[in-house]
Order: sequence, then C-alpha cells, then structure tokens
Amino acid sequence: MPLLEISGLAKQFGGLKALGGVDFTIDEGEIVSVIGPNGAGKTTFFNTISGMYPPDSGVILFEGEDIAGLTPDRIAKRGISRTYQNVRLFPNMTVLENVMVAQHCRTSRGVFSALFQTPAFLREEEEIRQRGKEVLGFFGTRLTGYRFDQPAFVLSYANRRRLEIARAMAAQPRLLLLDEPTAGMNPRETRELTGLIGKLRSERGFTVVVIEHDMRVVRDVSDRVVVLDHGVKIAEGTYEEVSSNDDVITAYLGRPAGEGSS
Amino acid sequence: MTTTLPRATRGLDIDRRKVIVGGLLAGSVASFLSAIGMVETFDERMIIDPILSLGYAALVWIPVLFGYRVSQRVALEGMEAPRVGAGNVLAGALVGAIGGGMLGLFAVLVDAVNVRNVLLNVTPALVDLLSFHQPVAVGALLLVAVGAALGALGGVAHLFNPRVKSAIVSGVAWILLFSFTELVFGDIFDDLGMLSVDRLIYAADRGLTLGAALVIFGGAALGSLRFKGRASGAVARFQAMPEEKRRSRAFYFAAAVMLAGLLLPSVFGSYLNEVLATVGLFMLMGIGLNVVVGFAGLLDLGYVAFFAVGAYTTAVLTSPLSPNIAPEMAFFEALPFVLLMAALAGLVVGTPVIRMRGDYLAIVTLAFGEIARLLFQADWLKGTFGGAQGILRIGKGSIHTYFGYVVVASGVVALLVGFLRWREGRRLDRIGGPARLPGNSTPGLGITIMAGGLGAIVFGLLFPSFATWTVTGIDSEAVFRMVMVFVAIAAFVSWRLQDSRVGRAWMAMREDEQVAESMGINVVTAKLLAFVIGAMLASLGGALFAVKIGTIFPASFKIVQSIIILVIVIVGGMGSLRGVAIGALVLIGILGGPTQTGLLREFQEYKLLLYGVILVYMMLQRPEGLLPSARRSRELHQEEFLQDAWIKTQEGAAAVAEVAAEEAEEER
Amino acid sequence: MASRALPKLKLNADGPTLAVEVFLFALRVLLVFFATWALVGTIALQVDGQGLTATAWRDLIVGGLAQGSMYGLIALGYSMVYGVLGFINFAHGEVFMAGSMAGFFVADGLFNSGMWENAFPLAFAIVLLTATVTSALVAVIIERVAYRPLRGAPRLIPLITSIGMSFFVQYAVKGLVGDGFKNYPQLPAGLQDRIGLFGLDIEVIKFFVIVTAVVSMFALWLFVERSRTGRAMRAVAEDKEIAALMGIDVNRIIVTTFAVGGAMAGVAGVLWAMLFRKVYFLTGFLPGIKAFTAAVLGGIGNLVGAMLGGVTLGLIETSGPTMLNGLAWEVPTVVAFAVAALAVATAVVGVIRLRKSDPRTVGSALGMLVVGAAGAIWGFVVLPGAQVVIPGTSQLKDMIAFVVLIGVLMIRPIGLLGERLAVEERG
Repeated sequence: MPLLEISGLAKQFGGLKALGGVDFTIDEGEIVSVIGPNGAGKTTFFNTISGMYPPDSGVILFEGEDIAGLTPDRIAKRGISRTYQNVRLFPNMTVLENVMVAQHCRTSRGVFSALFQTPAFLREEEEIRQRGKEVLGFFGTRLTGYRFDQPAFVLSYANRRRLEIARAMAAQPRLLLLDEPTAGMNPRETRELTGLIGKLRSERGFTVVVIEHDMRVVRDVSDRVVVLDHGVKIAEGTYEEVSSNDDVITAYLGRPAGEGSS
Repeated sequence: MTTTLPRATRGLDIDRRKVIVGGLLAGSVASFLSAIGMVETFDERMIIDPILSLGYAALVWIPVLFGYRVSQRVALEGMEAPRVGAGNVLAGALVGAIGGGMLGLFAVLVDAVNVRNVLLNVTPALVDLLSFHQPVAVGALLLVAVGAALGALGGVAHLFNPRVKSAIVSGVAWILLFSFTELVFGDIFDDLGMLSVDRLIYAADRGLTLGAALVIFGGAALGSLRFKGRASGAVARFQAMPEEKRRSRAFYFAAAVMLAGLLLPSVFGSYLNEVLATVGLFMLMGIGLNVVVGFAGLLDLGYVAFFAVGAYTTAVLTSPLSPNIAPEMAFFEALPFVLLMAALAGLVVGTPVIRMRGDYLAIVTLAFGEIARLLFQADWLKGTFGGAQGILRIGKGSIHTYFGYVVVASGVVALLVGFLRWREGRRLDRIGGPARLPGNSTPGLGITIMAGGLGAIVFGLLFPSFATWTVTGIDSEAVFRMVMVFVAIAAFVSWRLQDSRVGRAWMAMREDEQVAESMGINVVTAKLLAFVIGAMLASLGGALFAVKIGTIFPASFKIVQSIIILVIVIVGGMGSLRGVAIGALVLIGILGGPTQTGLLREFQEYKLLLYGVILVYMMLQRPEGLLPSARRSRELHQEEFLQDAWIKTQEGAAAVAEVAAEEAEEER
Repeated sequence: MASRALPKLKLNADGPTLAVEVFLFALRVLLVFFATWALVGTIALQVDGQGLTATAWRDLIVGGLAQGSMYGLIALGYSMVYGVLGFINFAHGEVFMAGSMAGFFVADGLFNSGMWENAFPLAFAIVLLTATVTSALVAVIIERVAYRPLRGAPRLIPLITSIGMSFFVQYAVKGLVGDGFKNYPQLPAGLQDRIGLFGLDIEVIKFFVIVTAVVSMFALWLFVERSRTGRAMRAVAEDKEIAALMGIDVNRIIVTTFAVGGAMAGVAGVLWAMLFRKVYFLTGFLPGIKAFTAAVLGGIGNLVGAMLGGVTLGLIETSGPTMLNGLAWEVPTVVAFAVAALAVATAVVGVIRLRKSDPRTVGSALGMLVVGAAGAIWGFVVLPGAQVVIPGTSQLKDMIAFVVLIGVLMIRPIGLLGERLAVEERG
C-alpha cells in the first residue's frame, strides 16, 4: 500500500482552476519532486494535502484512510507536516520553542498539569526539549548552542529555512512536504541542503515530497519527478525521462506559435 | 555652490523650518492644554511650595521637550557627526520663544475676545495665570522670555553627557514622585506619629518645601550618577542568567512582593490602601486580558463583559435584594459559581468569533460587551439583575470562617505534591545522567514542600481564626489584602501557563494562525481556552469589585473599562507579566480607574484624555510596550546589528528583496 | 444488526471543534428562527388588529429611513478607509461628533443673530459647511498624526491607535466645550410641520434629512466613480504599490479619502442634530459603532453597500422593538407542528449526510441532526401556544444593532453586496 495515494484532486478558486484532477502516489521511503512553471498549482497541491483548504473533489488516502477535508491539525497529527515557500516561522518565539511547539500534537498535558507542574508535565517538557535539540542538531551546529534561545527572526535567511525544516521534522511526521527548500540559498548552501534531503530519508526514515525549481537539486534528490502545469499532471517519471518529455519542455518554454489556444 | 560643506556640520546654522514648525507645535500643545482647563485645574496642586504648581508644570515640559527634540542633530551615516554647541541652544531657545509667544498670543486673544460661550474653560482666571498675574501684555512678553529660557534649557541638555542627563531626569522624576505621594506619606507619617518629618518635607498639604525639593533632587541625581550603572548591570546579569535560574529568581521576587503586599497594608493607611486596591483590581484584570490579547493574540474589546458577569453573579447569589434568585450565599460559596458562569460566558463570546479575523473579532467582542451591559440594564431581566437600579446590599466577603480550613486544605495538598515530587526526585536520582536538570524534582525539594505543608496544617489548626477579615468596601485594608491574594493567584496561573504546552500553542497561534494549525495545534480549543481563562480571571475581578463597592449598577460596566485594561496591557508590554504589573501600578496608581481616583485627583477630568494619548503614543513609538517580556527585550538589540550586518551583504539583500516580493505576492 | 449496517463515521476534527460547529450552526438557526418568529408574529398580530396603526408604521418606516440614511453617510467613511487602508477607523464616530459640535456653535450664533429664523436655507448652508469642513479637518489631522506613521503595520495596530484617538477626541472636546448637552436651536416653523407627499403625510424634517443624505451620497458616488481622484482612489484601494508606480500620489489620495469620508460624517452630524437637536462629547460613540455595523452589513469597502446597509440597519433598528413585541404572538399549534416537521426533515437530512460519511460535511450534518432533533422536540412540546413577552423592548434598540453586527459576521461576513470599494468596472 502506498503511503499517500491521491486521485482526482481538484480545487477551484472563483473562476480559476488551480488543480484539475491530479493523481499522485508516493510509497514509504520515496523522495518525489513536484516541478512545474509558476502558477502550475504546486503550492495549492501542498495546501490541499495539508488541509489548509479542503479540496472540491478527489480522494486523498494517507495510510489507506481518506484525509480530504480534515482540519489541518488533524492531518498534522496523522503524520504529514510541511514547510512553506515563503518561510513561515513563529518569528518571536525562540528557535527551541519553534521546534517544541511543533510537537504539540504528540503531547497531551493540559492546563491542570501545567499549573501544578506535575511530574508527568515536567517529564514531557523535558522530552520535547531534548527531542527539539536533537532535531536541531540535524543541521550541525547552525541551530544549536546559543541559538536555542534566540528568537527566530534574528536568524539568517538560510537558517530560517533550516529551522522550518527542523520544525516540520519535530512534529514526527511520516510524510514531509518541503515547498522550495532551497529558494534564496546560495550554491554552497543549496548543495549542503540537497545532501540533507537525502539524509532525511536515509537517516531519519522520512518520506519526502519536495517542490523545487532548481533542476540540479531535483536531479540529485528525487527518485521520481512529477510535473504539474495549469493544475494538471503532464508528466511523471525519473528525472531523465521527464527532462526529455516534450510536454514538459513546452510547458516551461511555451508553445510554438499558432499551436496553443489559451 | 557645489563645494559647500553639508549643512549639518556648520556651526550656528539652524534648520529654520524645523524650528518654526517645532515652535508652532509647542505653542499649539500649550494653548490646547490651557484651553481644556488643565492648567487652571492643576494649579490647585503645588509641586514645590511657592514656586511651581502642577498647572505650570503641565506647561513647563513643553518648551523643554520641544527645544530638546528640535535641536537634536541626527548624525547621518558617512557624514561627520555634527558638533554640539551654541547652535543647539539657540535653536532650543527659538523654539521655546515661538511656543511661548503663541501661548502669549492665545492669552491676549482670549482676553480681548470673550470665547467662553464656546470654550468653557477659558476663564479670566486662566488668562491671569498665563500672564503670571501681570497685565496680559506684560504676561505675554514674560511667556516669550520664559519659553525661550526653557527651550534653551532643552537645547543645553545636548551639551551634557548622557549620565548627567539621566541624573537630571531622575532628579525631576523623584521630585514628582514625592510630590504626588504627599497624601500617602502624610497618612503613613501620621500612623507612625512622625508629623514633624511630614512638616519638614511637605508644606502643609501644599507640595514639597523648597528645601526638601532641593535635597530630593540632589539625592536622586547623585544616586543616579552613583548607581545607574549598577542597576542596569544587575538587570543585565539577571538577563544573562540561564532560563531556569531566572525564573526561580523572578518567582522569589514575586513572592517577596506578595508577602509585602500582605503585611504592608496595616502601615499604609486607608488612602493608599484604597488606591492600591483599585490598582490590584485592574492588575488582576490586566493579567487576565494579557492572557487573551498578549498570549493568544485575540484583541478582546468587550472584556468588561466578563468583569460584569463576575460582579453580577456575585451580587445575585449573595444579595437578598435580587428577587428571582436570592440564595444569599456567602462570598466564598458564590465564588465557584462565579467562575463557572464566567467560563460559560467565555465560551459564548469566544465561539462565534473563532473564525473571524482579528479586527472583526475586536469589534464583535466590543458588541458583546455592550450587549451584556444592555441586558443587565433592561427591564426585561429586571427581576434578576435589578435593571438600571442595580443590585444593593451585596454580601460581604468574609474569610474568618474559612481561612483556617483553607490553610489546612492547602497544607494537605502541599503534603501530597511534596510526596510526589520526592518520589519523582528519587526516581530521577536513580536514573541519573542527562535526565538530571535544574527544573526537575529532587528529593530535597519534595521534603521542603512536605515540610511547608505540615507547617500549614499545624498553623491552620492552631490558629483557625488567624485572619478574621470581613471584606467590605469600608475596610480598605482587608479589601487590599484580598485583592492581593487574587492577583497572586492570577499571576501564578498566567506565569505557569506561559511556558507550557498551552502557552506555546497560544504564542504560535498569535504569530501565525494558519501555520500553527498545520503544525497540529487545534486553534479552536486554544482560542476557547484563552477566552475561558481570561473570562475567569476577569470574573474574579468582578466579584471583588462587587464586594468592595457593595452595590453594582450597569453603568459601572461600560466599554471604557475594557479600554483602560487594554491600555494597561499595552503600556506594560503585551505578553509580559511584569509589564502588566507596572502598567497597572503607574497608570491606575497615578491617574486612577474609570471612576476611581488615583494619587492625582486633579487628573480625574483628564485621565481618559490621557489614556487616549498614551494609547496612541505607545502604538506609534513603542508598540512592544515599556517592559516587554525579558526574552524579547534582550534579543531585540541583537537583532538590530546582526540583521543589519547580514542585510548589508549582497546575499542578504537579495534574500530580503525576494522575501518582500514573495510576501507581496502572498498578500494578493 | 443496525450498528453493523452503518459505515464507520469519519470525523474531520476532534470533539471540541465539532461541538463548536454544532453550536455555531444552532446559533445561526436560532437567530433566523427568532427573527422569523418576530416577523411572522408582528404580521399576525397586525392582522389580528393588535398591532400598530398605519400611521405609526409609516412613522416608524420614515424614521428608519431618516436614521438609516445618516448611518449610511457615516458608514461611507468607515467603508472608504477600510477599502483604501484596510483597517477599522474607530475614531470615525468622533469625526461625526466633532462636525455636529462645530455645527452647533455656528447654529447657536446664527440663532442669536436672528438669521436662523429669517434666512434658514442660508443659515443651514453655513452650518452644513462648517460641520463638513470641521469633520474633514479632524479626520485629516487624525490621519496625519496617528495613522500615517503606521502605514504597513499589522492591521490591529492602527485599530488600537484609532481607539486611543477616539478617546482623545472625545475628551478633548469635553475639555474644550464642557460635558453638557448642547441643544440646537428650535427648527423654524416650516420644518416642524408634516406635509403630504406621494399621498403620505410625513414630517418635513425627516424628509429633509433623507433628501440631504441622498444628495450627499449621490455626490460622493459621482466623485468616486467619475472623477479622476475617484479613479485614483479605487486604484489605491486595489494596490497601493502599483498605484504609486503609475504615478498616483498615494498619500494625497489617502488624505482625500479621509477628508471626503469626514465630510460625509459632518453632513450626518448636522442632520443628526437637526433630528435629535442635541449633541455632547459622547454623541459619536453609538452612531459610530452602528454605522460600522451598517458598513459591514452592506459589505465593507463597498460604497453602495454602505448606503444600503445604513438604510437596512435604520429600518431594522426603528422597527425592531415593535418586531420584538411580535414574539408575544401565541404560536398556533398548526404553525408549531409545521416548524417541528421542518425540524424533523432537517434532522433526517443530517442523518443522510452523516451516512455519506464525507468528512467535509460532517460538521454541518451533525449540526443539522442535533438542531433538528432538538427543534422537533421543542416544536411539538413547547412551541404550541408559546409566546415571549418582553417588557420595555424599546430599551433593547441598541442591542438589536449589535445583534445584527454579530449575526452578519456569523452568517455572511462579506455583507449583502460583498467587499470592495467600487461596484462598477471590475471583472
């Protein structure tokens, strides 16, 4: 059974058809890239999977159960977490708090135990603190040590991207959705992150869907590439297959004159 | 032409436009304060006996401040820092002179033309005051001269080094403080039988004596010069402490304040107790609103509704005069029901607004606040709530029958908690290693808590009538003590919640609701929880208010209350507990609540005006508040240079531009 | 057997969230239900001959139109500022009050000089001019001092600032002119009469108010739709950066927006004073909030919506207390059973939807089930012969406006006509 199996996913905003019946599957332990020109519906694809808005129609089976229409917190709890194209951290919370709050759905202590600081509460706090530090350690020393107690907004742009990934990891998902993780990074940082995406699978056992514009990254990390254009899947396959596909080339470079209608 | 130096570096050159605008602004502010009657009203109150009344003080600061600000020179990057000198003084003096001239003109004009039909407060007495009891023409010239002198003083301030400047400021502040607290110290000295000291400092209820003022100024200024560095050093050291240690220090400090709050009222005298009880009441509600606005980021403008629910539930349950339901409970029996009703009210108000965006939420909560008042006022529900006449004879809050039991009961709880801590500590000791962290339980901690519990039980059994307070509005000492207890509870609740799973969820929701939701936070329950806890804390305030006054009317629950509580939270710094505490102390203590007076009774007329000004000023200048939470203030400075240094790199600039572009796109 | 036949229920959210959804559903149904009951009851009582006389109704409606057209005028200011800057200018009610107050002093002066009686049209024009200019000035000054430095801040910041500003203006006015009521001079004889118009006999002053308001609104509409500045204003409302790139002076347009909105509030201020003949420093608070309600009701940012919302709110408010008396109508058994049957049907639909087990509709399906079941029981048991007698309904007038505000935001937050600054030329 695939980890995530999507069929006929459609979403429309007013008159704009953002997704027009997309099918998609990913198996446990795969890394799949989603590519496509601007406005192809990639981010909408992530938004509907993560429950930010419910799809108009279609089925999203995660571990065999339909999650279409669930609230985002429920989906996160089931094991899908994501990052955002335009880094959305909790800027005034510290680095450590950012990864601690992501474990919200894995913890359960409520008001009472917080008021009286019951042993169970303290133990849980300690656990999520340790796990948070451990997750931040995934990026070497960049987000550790004195960084723990810095608010997220003081971080550099690249570190913010890293923290966002760490935050998604901290939620202990089975499926990670990374929306343009290397955007705005310099070549060296991009190379480093490319390696880390591989490690997300090999060391941490995450299944990863990644939206990416940088074709070298796509080539290096993905088992499979899915191409979206105008809300429709136009190609799927290995990097080599996709990169030589005519439809894909047309989508990126435009149709020859006289052929296209809209 | 092209070879001239940049203007700012030349000696006596003055920015004419800035000076004129500054002077006119100063003049307008001064004329406005005079026209609304502030100067005249405040003149009753002396600050330093023969020479300075509060009325003049209300004007004196204007030329000084404007003179200071206008003559300030901005050091532009890449340019030679402008030299400070005679130019500053001259600019300041000119600003002051223009301002004074404008005020003088105002005096002359209103003297010549009778405008009392329109401007009620422009009286001959005001003109007399403005012209220093001289003929008005002479007075106007005097105003120019005095304005120039004060403006020059503002300009001269630039010549002093910062330490001297802050010494002067603190000297002035201490003079004001001593003068404002005249009645308080009068009471205390009276109690202590030290009237002679009182006479030495204060000129028979007419402000400080000149000598005392000089001594205070000198002492404060010297103290500032001597200790300034140390105080900030201590603060820095405190902030540099590790989180755990800082928290425990803060806790001990808060405990010490609370203890003082319990013991000191007997010394304070009724006047100060009355003022402080009001302060405590608003502190309590400020802490509650801080949970809703500061922690969870929900701008609740109808917070007064929960206050009203608390007060009315107390009144209905304890007063014999509410016809439909009059169980005539004792205050503490009614309290659980008060909390329950408040929680329900929190749910009712909170539910419809869950999915509304921030500004609509604010207006809808405001609407709920008004609806609550209108319902309490309506004839429709008169049988229960007494309509416009309100409810009289609210039961006293008496503790004498309960307090012993309360102490014993809390002792038992402490025993239990201590035991659990002890066991947990033993367990952790066995495991050892990295699990052993400062916040964890230790066997010692458990034993300490158990000992405390045992002590409490013994004490409670030996002295069951330790505290025989019967809290009514008349006994301000007891009211204040009880308010302190409730404030302590509220502070404890919000302090514990802030750094817990719940608190972090609120914080995340405040920062970015959508992301919080997709990180697994259930925003529905988080928001409702914030509303419910905020409502319960406010209802405690309402219950105390009802007992304190003994009679409640719907008119006590206007939106003004909500706004004043909001001002407290914002001035202190949203999300910051000590900010709320200081905010309530300063604002309510000095200016007073919506109907209650503070230390400065003269402000009664003008305090809502001031609250408005303060709110606007804070939003424009310091939206983070005066005392933002320790963490934020600590790192705001780091951000300034780290971030700037980073943006200056090309890579940083590119990234910033990209983020900006993306945000713009996102917005659309 | 039966339990095995049911598919496993899939919930899209946890218990509390669903409970909240059910509660909200119930709240909406209750709002609609009681509104319908009040309406039907009022009509039924009317038919029974227990209602108001035709004259009373006519006065209510004319009063509502007059009141509503003033709300509409004030609402325009909220709507325009919201359209252009995207925040609620809480101090707008005070702008209205300032105009009314300034108008008073001029009117009083003119009355003392005899001009008010002798040359009323001229006097009125002077008063109107003073009020509009004052209001526009106050609005512009507020913008300059308090809002301009906050461009681009999160939208709650200017909202809080405007609350502060509102307090400041209220108490500054109190400090300047005192806290007593200022009574506008007696209207000249002609305006106090009633006239026959379109076969109706109505108060001249109300007619006058409505006409002035409509003319002002029309002028504003022309300004926004037809003038260059108006076009620029719409462009700024759409996108400030792009408008700036196209050579529009955004700050000037924003100042104009405040000035025009303020002027409209000033007109409303004079009309208000004509009708109620008194003004004091807190006069602006309630009309301010109600006008905001009107703006939301019509669709905030939408000028035609603001006017429509104003009139609707005015009508609801003036006839509301009478409508509440309609709840005193004893519900006949037949009607009660019909309601109950409807409730049963709702519950059935709820069950069907639940069985479809689509997590997207589970909240509303549960709501239908719960509300339907409760409604059915209530309809059969309690409702026949039920009546709600509310004494002193006129005291609840202000409350009706607030309930409308909450109701609109719960049921249709974009308002009657949707949110945008201008209606035409979009697509």
